[in-house]
Amino acid sequence: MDISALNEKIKEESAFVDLLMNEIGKVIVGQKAMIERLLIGLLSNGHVLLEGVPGLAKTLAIKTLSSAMKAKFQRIQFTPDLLPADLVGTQIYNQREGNFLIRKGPIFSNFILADEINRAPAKVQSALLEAMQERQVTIGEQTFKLEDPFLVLATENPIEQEGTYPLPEAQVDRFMLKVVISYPSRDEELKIMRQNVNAVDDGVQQVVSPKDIIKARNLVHDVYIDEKIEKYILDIVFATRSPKNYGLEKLTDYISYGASPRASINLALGAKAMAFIKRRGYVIPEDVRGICLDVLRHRVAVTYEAEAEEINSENVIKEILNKVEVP
Amino acid sequence: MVRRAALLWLFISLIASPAFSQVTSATASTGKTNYLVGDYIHYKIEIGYKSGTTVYQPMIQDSLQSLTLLKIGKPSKVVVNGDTTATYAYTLSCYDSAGVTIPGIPIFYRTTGDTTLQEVPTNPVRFAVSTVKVDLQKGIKDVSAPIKIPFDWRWFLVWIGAALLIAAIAYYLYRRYKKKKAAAASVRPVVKLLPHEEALSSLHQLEQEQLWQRGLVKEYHSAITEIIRRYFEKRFDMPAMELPTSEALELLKHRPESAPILDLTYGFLSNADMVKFAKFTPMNSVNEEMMKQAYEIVNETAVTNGKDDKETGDVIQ
Repeated sequence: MDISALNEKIKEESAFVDLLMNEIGKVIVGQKAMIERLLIGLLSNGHVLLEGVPGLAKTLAIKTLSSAMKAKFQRIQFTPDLLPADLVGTQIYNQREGNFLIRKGPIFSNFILADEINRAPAKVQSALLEAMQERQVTIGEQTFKLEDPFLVLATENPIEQEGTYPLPEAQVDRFMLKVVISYPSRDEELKIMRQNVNAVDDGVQQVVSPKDIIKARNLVHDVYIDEKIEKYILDIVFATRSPKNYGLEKLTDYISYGASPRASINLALGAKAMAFIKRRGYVIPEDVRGICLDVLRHRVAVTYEAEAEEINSENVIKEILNKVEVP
Repeated sequence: MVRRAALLWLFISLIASPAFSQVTSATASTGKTNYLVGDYIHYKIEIGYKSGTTVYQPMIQDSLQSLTLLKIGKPSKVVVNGDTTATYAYTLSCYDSAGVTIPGIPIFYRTTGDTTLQEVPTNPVRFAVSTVKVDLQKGIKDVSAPIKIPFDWRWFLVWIGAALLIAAIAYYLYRRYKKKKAAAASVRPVVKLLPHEEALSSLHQLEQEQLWQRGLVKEYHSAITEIIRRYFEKRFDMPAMELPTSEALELLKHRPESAPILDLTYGFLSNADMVKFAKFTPMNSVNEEMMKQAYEIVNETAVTNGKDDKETGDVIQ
């Protein structure tokens, strides 16, 4: 398709993004970046890992998003005694008919909030992550496809690490984005306070349907990404693996291992979705840089030496972004 | 009478039997009876036997006691008129002074038609091993005199050749050093280009290359923006090469000197981004305009007498 035609089409088809943002904005004050990342995950068919202290409207955000789309939403509180069957479903024996019935679990929804994913043991985490990857679940001998769109928003609490089961690196890699959210600004918090004290409930209207999202997802795939941008993405990802080759010798001792090829794929997909949200039919370096931290922060592991010097993966990625030349 | 004759025959046959078996003989010997510590002792076993006899190799190791077996020689055989003499030679040594006795070594053999393993011992061999008497009054001297190497003309020629080669290398290096010194003396004085001079020179060179005229529009826009970004890096001391358009413009906003070119730069970089990333094919007039804008950006912000700018200029020889 011609770029100008694609540009026009995307401008037309992405109109719902502003509507959606406005609708969510009625309930959620601030946290624009988080909402934008949720949309990117949704449009790129990826999943989002959210890290932030309690009370930052994580649940409300995804609940509002599902309401604005009139999609099915489930919140699963991960606890140490949770079983995989509690998540995916199980077979129940029907005594009257003498056969087994299948009872589907809460995972059969469009939006899943896996609250405090690191509180459940590894087998439950694996069940969720497998479903996220395969987009299907097998109960007994029957395999069921999951809903489409299907977005998992998993949260991790950075405090109270005692008695938790941290996600292994291979599992974390399956999340397209890891978004770190922080406290709202003073003005935003004032609005939040007033909104809650006065109990003003505007109610969220449906502005887009799950079908529209699937349609938009196809358009996101069509967004043009130039070879120069692809090379820029590769430069960033390769700099996490061999910083020395990019004049970043000092990072060699700080990086334990670099980003996987999934990082390159997700960076390209994320940049395309970002361009779509910005209502463009082509990717520019700003899109890559805009999503880079969220795609890479959980994929670049730092060494003990870096930790001792209070250098985290974000510092490393920022250093790389400041060194790799923009096309 | 018959009884007496039978007894006589039995007596004679008993006496004659060992004499018949003694056809195989074994003799051991050493060359001397006096040795010095560490000397080579050549111990030899000679076994004589008739045809139809199989003799097994003697095993001497267990009988050597204080002696050290240095070498086992190759056995030899000599056959004369059906009588075979096998010789086994050993080189031994002793590192202590003593009177040494090599006991009789049993030699095992079999005769044809007889399965019995028979044995004949060698004679014991005695000799003395004594230490070297050291005369402490005399000075220390070599055990043996140094070996005299005969004069070889070939070695002499090799040494002459090597000396000539070293001299040639030294001469070459000297010539090279002199040449370099002479070249350094004639080098032009270092010229430092100011950021705007460097940018203008690069723009001029790009114009000469006529990239867009040859259909290389994308390359032209990449090159022209790179020149301007490099200029910004040096002129405004900002990492323009590592920043996308929006972030570079954001930094420029904070530099008052860039105020006259801010809008122009925005249009210039945004246009180039369209060509570079969105497959946009500009008209020829736009390509020409880009060059004019690039010159304008540089000329509008050029600092000709700033001390800092001179220091940031590149070195041209």
